[in-house]
Amino acid sequence: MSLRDHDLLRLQDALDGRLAEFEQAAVEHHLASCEACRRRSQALRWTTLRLAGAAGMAVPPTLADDLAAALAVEEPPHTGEPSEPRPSPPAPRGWRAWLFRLFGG
Amino acid sequence: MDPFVEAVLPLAPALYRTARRMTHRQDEALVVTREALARARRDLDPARLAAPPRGPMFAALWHTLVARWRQEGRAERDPGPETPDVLLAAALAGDETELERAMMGRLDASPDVDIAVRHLAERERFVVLLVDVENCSYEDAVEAMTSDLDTIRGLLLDGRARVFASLFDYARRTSGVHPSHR
Repeated sequence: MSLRDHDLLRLQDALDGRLAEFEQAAVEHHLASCEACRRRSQALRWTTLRLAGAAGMAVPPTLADDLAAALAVEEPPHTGEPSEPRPSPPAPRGWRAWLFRLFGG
Repeated sequence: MDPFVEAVLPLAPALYRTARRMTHRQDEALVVTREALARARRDLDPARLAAPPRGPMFAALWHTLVARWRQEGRAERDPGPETPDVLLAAALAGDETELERAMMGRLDASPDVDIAVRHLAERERFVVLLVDVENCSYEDAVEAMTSDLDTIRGLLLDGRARVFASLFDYARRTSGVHPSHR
């Protein structure tokens, strides 16, 4: 495996558990013999660990209440469905149908 | 409780933290989070509320941020010309002991992480924040940025490499391993 960017993407995929088992094994086999790739893999792993540690940023204690209050005054949720068409009046029959044809609906 | 509110409120801290790291300001982060929730309420298919709607909620946040930047006439930051391999290779040019020493010295969540993230271009920063900080899946990031998997993989790698270069430099300086020792 050379050290072009697409191989780094592969190392990243392995690090993130996004490879099939046989692909993961191939990457691990390569890492056992390639110091350059091993160090890059370690570097990426260390970076992800550091970043994961950053999740604990404090949020304002009233955040949930503030947002719930803001949502309470928002418009009602979109249903995702097209609005129901209005039921059309029943079709005229008999002499009414004759009048409709004569004068238009 | 309103099913929308019930589904999205558990995601509010993650949305707020991400907004905070994208805007750098507490008051603006709150406004952006509120706008994102309102946008999601308008646009989100209620069928998505069955599972925590991480992808759609972060999509609402991303689109809110982009709309604000456009409104302010702001262009997104240029990520820089360095490829991830160049960044990693430059940082890793020393011997392995140096690398291990510098890395082992800094595993806590210190402010240098936020500083490193702050310097990323917006797209890279957003993907890194979603996947590495807020533990979203690649697929969530694809949905959030209306993008494709390869683009997200690339943005994530670029962002991680830049964060590494920045953190490693800091770690090396604070652990007593100086670049001149290389």
